[in-house]
Amino acid sequence: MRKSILSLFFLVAVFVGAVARAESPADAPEVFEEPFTAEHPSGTWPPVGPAANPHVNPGEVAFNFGVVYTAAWAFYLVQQNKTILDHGSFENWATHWYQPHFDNDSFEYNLFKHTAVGSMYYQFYRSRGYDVKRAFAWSFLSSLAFEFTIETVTEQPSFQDIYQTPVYGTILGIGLEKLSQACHRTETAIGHVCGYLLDPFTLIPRTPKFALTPSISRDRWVADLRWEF
Amino acid sequence: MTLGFHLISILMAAAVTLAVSTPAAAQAPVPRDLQIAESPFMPNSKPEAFRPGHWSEGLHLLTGFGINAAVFNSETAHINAGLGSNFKADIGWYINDRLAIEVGSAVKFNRYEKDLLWDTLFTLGVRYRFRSLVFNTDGAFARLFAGESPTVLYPGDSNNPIRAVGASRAQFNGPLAGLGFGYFFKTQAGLNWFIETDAAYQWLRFSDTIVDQNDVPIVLQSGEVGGSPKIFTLAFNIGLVLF
Repeated sequence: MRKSILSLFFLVAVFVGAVARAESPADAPEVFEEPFTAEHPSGTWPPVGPAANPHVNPGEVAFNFGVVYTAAWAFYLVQQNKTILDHGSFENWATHWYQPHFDNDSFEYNLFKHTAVGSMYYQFYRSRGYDVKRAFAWSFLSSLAFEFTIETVTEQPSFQDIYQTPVYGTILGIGLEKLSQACHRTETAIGHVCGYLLDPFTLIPRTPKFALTPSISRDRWVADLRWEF
Repeated sequence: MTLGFHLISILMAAAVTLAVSTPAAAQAPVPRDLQIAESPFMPNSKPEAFRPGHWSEGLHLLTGFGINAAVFNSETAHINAGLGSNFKADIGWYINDRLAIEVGSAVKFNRYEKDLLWDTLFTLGVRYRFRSLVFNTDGAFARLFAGESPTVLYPGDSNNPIRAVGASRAQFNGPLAGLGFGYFFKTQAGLNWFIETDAAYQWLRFSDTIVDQNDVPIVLQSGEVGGSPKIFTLAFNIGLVLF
């Protein structure tokens, strides 16, 4: 039974991967006929929710995934430091990844915390211009990466987490996104505040362009970091 | 104990209400932020392409809430756990107009006297849409599924044997199989929704008694369960096709 479940998750990972692969510009056809203008119902400022952007290029895809993966490591090291010291080891990290199981966690972890984290994955990818399905697919891959390459320091990958984090997270994320949009549409200060609280990633500019330009001379080293809005 | 679950339920219900209550006129044109790009891997996967009588190919996520009735049975006990709440989420790959492969989960909460039963049914299954026969039953479908269920019992009574060994809960694992029937509908605004009734049979094979120490679950006792315990559940859900 467990082997079949493992096979099942592998199957899911394959087709979610296939969905995620469709991120390349050549695969993603243009779907918007109307320009994104201030007159457009969803084009008023502040932006009410993220817009699907068919032109997310492979570099951005890798960057976005890298941001999530780095944040997951940082969050895990900070939030679970005591658990890591008590139960973590390199041996765990090297061996746990091929021993997924049904965990014994409480429902606060399995239902609420993982769902909350999953909704953040989803909202982040949506805020970067991914459509609903691709945001789900990348949430799934991000969750897999966490389960199989980060959390293995202290525990085996959990079937509950692998499924519930992206699936329940996406469901919650869709709900929060709609509520956030409804709040923004009130066009009131409190509405906007609530809208951003419900979907905080919409505060980050949609198409940031980062540039790090090193400048090295005989007497100084300069790193010029730019973030173009 | 289930406050968080209810909060999430309320949030989702509010989102569903918003989606349902939005007038059709206000939805045209479709807001840019709600549009979904198609891809070669998901032909005809836009929400408007999915109809009760015509399933679009590709990835679809279904979620629903409802109630369940559970009965626990073993060689020594027969317990009616009564009615409880139910939440389901199925992610499926719709192969064609009639057939889908799904990975599903159904979270159930039941109370028996002072005890709380938290059950999660993880399943792999198929969903099949029936052909219309005498009446217009294009939206009717059946599900066949099997999987495994971690079933967690939180004893409310301090005299419970689980508490007596210093554990806070017991988790039972075992296989399950089930069958479901349902019907898809579509609102005038284009929202796909469904009703579904599922019957599931679980065999509780292994048990762990658990206590949390610094948020880490520690297994105090572990082993096979005697007495052939089983749970039969009948669940009714109403839900949405989210994408």
